[in-house]
Amino acid sequence: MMNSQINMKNLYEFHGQADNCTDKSFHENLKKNSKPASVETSKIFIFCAKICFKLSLIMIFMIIFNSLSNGTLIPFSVFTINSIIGFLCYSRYVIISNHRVQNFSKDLHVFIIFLVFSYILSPVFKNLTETVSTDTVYALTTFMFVIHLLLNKYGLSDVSLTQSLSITSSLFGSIMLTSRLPSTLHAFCLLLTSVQSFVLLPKFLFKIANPVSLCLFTVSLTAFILYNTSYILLHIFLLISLFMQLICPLFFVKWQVYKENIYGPWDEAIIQF
Amino acid sequence: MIKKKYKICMVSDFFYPNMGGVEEHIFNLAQCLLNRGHKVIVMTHSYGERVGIRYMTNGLKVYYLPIKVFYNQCILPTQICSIPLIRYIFIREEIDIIHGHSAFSALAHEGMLIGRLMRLKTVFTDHSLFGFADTSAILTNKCLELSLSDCHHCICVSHIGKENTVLRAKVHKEKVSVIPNAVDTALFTPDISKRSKDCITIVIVSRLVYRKGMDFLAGVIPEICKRHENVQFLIGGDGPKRWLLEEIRERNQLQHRVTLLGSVEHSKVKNVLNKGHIFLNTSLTEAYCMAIVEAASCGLQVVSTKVGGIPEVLPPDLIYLVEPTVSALIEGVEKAISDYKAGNIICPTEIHKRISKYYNWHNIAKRTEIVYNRVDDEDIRSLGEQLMNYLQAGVLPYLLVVAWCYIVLQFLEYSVPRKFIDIARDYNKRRNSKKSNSSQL
Repeated sequence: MMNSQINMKNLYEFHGQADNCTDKSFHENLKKNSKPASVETSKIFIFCAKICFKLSLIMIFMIIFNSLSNGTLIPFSVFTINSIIGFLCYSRYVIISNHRVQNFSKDLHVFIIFLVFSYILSPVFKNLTETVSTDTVYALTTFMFVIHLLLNKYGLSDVSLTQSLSITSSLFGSIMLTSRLPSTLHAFCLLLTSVQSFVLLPKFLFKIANPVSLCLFTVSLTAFILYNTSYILLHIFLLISLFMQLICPLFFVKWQVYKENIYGPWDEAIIQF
Repeated sequence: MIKKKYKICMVSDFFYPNMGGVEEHIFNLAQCLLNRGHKVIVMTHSYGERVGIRYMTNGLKVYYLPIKVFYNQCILPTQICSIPLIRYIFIREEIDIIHGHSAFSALAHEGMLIGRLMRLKTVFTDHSLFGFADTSAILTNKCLELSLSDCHHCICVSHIGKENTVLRAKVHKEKVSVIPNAVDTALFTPDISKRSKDCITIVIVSRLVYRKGMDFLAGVIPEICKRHENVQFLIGGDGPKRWLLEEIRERNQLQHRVTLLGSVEHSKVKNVLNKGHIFLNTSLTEAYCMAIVEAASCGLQVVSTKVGGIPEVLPPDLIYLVEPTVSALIEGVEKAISDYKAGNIICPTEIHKRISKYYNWHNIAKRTEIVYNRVDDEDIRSLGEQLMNYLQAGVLPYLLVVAWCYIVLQFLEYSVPRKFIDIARDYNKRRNSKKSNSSQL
């Protein structure tokens, strides 16, 4: 069978046909969608939940910034809440990951360095963008957090540069914001919150909890806080969350049928070892 | 009936001094068409200091346009910046047919667009295969679809290439002809005396790049060397994967058995091939593989991966086709070696004779001429009809580009009128008429 096909389609013999003729073997080897669709609905929902979780973290961070700057929250309470959450999460982390003694001292070392240096440097951070106008600061911060959302890894397996870029941009955004706060203590607390919520918390929480339930919890928490602050923001936030968590994944899964993959002999061979 | 002689302009970014399949194709086709009494010029971008007009063998006129290379040896596709120059050349040389080469060449697409707007006929030769899976493929396929939606005729170098082009550029299959490449078999003759008597030489001549399957080669070399004491490798070509082969050679202590020649001039390839018994091709994708035909023409046994158009190129008894995996390639080479040891091979001169029967440029030129005749018979399309054709591709903004080019051309018609453009003399014409006169006498 293979032989007859080769004889029909060869270039070294003249068939007596015009060059633009085609026989019935034209597109015989064309395969469409031969590989099964690799989309799992549950995976998509988890993916979207992670995005939603990040978004609500940013919202909470912004609320904290807002309350710090207008005086409804004092730095001390922010510091206490941060320490309690940090301590609880760390102890849980120690339990699930079988920590050894050397690691304790290492972690303590890092923790103290971080605390001392951010405390020493917080006046610098605060003064850093003080001369920049408030609108510019807010615009840049928004931009930075958008980048943070866009470049985050969300559990895709590739080793990425974007993950570190994402974290850096969120920290940069929060440093910009510190200049709008009344004192250096405020600035220090905001930085602490920022590191806690954008670097440590996501890393830890995705390890222990299901992203969907986690997302539902943080979204409802954010909604509850927003209910007490701003109605408009609450509605916008709920709409966006609903859109991202339900509508986007549903359409993504539904529209998979329109995807058409074409395979044929022209595809580049894949090297396997 | 007197056959009509055409004035043809080959347009491509890829031409001599660059070396490769496309360049070879343009040069040989142009030579044969010149021989058949057509007028042929080649248009390409400048290569370093090489700007202006040059004459090559048999008075083949080459225009090196003063356009800078932008990316990957291609010009920046501005669509309008080079209109005045290209139009001037088309008028000056009284071109009838524009023949663009290679889907990657921006200059070819630009030349064809301008040509069509000047109511000339266009033919396009596609030399490459493309997948459909990744983003870059989707983008380039759309661009090709746009460019070819108004092209008069396409030529592909293999049947697989035709299927691919019909799919990715959505051209009607009647408008695509399959005309293979050929090889100048007079240049690639067998010479057994150059071969080593006491060991079997496996030759590889290709650019050392990923697409040519150098990673396969890196797996094959140590294994074959381990199994056979009297086998050596001779590798011609250069490229980014050279370090890989050097590393393999170093690690397995094969310095005396694996020779890396670096890049080899095309005229010297024959000497390299004549030193070998077996030719190995490990390409991952290939529309038409000239290297294996050249090797077969030199009488070598050919082992090749079974990808793209390669199964169409040589008859089954002249090639060992294997699946694109390291183990299959090793098996293929093993089979070739054992066949050689058993004397179970076809005589090199016999192979050479067969190849020169299968492929020659005169035949290719004749078949291309048929395409030109076909295109010449077609009606000239008005601007409206052309725009309707572009509309089928579904990218509306592109119509604006085309219309803008048309306006620029109309303006040039006014500012640089046709009647003030000198017509170039065709020196070949006189010679051709002399030739025909003398043959009549």
